[in-house]
Amino acid sequence: MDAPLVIPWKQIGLGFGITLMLCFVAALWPAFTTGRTEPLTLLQLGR
Amino acid sequence: MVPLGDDYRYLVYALIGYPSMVLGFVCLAPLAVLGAERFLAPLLAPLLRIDRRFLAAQLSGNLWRTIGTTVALTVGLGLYVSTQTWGYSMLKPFTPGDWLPDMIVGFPSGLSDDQLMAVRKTPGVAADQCLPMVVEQPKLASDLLGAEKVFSAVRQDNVLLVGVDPEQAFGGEHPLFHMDFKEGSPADAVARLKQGRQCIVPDHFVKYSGLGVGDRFAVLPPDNPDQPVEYTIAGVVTLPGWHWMSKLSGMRSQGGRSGAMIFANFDQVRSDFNLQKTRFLWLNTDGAASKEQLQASFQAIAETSVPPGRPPAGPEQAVRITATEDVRSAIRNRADGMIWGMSQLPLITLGVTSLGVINTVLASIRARRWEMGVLRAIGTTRFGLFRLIIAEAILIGIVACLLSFVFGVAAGWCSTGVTQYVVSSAGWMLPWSSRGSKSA
Repeated sequence: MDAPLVIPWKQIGLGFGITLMLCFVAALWPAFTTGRTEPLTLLQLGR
Repeated sequence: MVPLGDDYRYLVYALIGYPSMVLGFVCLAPLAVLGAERFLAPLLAPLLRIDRRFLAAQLSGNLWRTIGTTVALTVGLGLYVSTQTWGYSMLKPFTPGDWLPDMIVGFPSGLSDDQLMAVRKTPGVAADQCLPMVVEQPKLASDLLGAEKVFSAVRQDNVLLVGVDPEQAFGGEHPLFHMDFKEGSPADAVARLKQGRQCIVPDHFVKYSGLGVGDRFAVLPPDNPDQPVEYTIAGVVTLPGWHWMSKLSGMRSQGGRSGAMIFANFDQVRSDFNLQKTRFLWLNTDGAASKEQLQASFQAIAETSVPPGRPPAGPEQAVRITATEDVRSAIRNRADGMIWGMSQLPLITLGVTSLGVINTVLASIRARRWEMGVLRAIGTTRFGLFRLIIAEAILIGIVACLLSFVFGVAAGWCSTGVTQYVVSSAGWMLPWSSRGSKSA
């Protein structure tokens, strides 16, 4: 049986949403802690 | 197409084709990262209220680590997309298509002409869209579909021959069946079917048998297998979903699977296979009655043939309604569950690989601490820095989505094509029991 190409947009959109959410969540803690770091500390650590 | 055996075709795909495709997409990853940074970062920056210059080198400044994370995410997400694409593409030929009328009604005791008239007048039935049919499931005289060589759902030694009135089924402005003709035309097919032993076959029958319009094949009447009857192909159509409609409606009188649903002239099929009674109707409804009301009306009509004094019909004599929409939604619901089940492992993989995003973001922060310290010193707020780091992670996610989409659709589509060769093979079997007995 020859099957036509079917792209399940809804399901794929769900997968993309999960991926973007995971990326967002993964970056939350590093972003939060970096945001709270004092500028001077960032400069000293980055020398 | 390169002439290859089915097993070799699958092996070439599994050992060379698929790995090459994976390698190709890994090689494309740097391009995807640079492209996203160039074209998508300027779109993302205003959404997060970041100066777009800050995102100009956010990914490429840490290119190889970003590529590693993107490829890792693409493993899970790409498999998820390919599983979904493969699953729903494979489902399409088995889902009842738009060519089908609203329902098949089976009358196990058969219908007289008076009862047929009564059915047509039943409230809820579109009177001019009610088609009686005679159905037989004869064996093919020769192994046309290759059933003896390979195992497949549609490579069987028999076909389902459906006798219908050609004009009502395929002709005129309002035919009952709205079929997509791959070879021949409805008008030509109707004219040919009226001539006698001519038929309309599905496209997969033509593909596996190597026949075409004008070619003939023979079938063996179950009651008289020594006298094969020959039919000439008058047209080739696509019939998505015929398998389930014929199975659930009880049209397969001899049981088991069938290689194809083939349409021929009502009178010709009736005389060739000695079918005295019309046991099935294919009809459209006008919406004036529910399925339950139609069931009750049809049952009442069926019982008018029971002589007075006889006990009422048992369950095996009950009228069976197979509604196209019911079959369609049942298949979709079942398939949704199965495909989702197959997609869970790729999603777990995606969850695990998303930990790599933390690693990449941390490495990026470590490499830019001086730059971030300067930004904070010249007035960038804590939330501004927060948004900048979030933007990088989202950009990585977007690149993974882009790569996964292209890879997943390509892999799913290729797998759909290869699957027909996988199911054709007899399958591998490890003889565990014999191994155990020998070693014992």
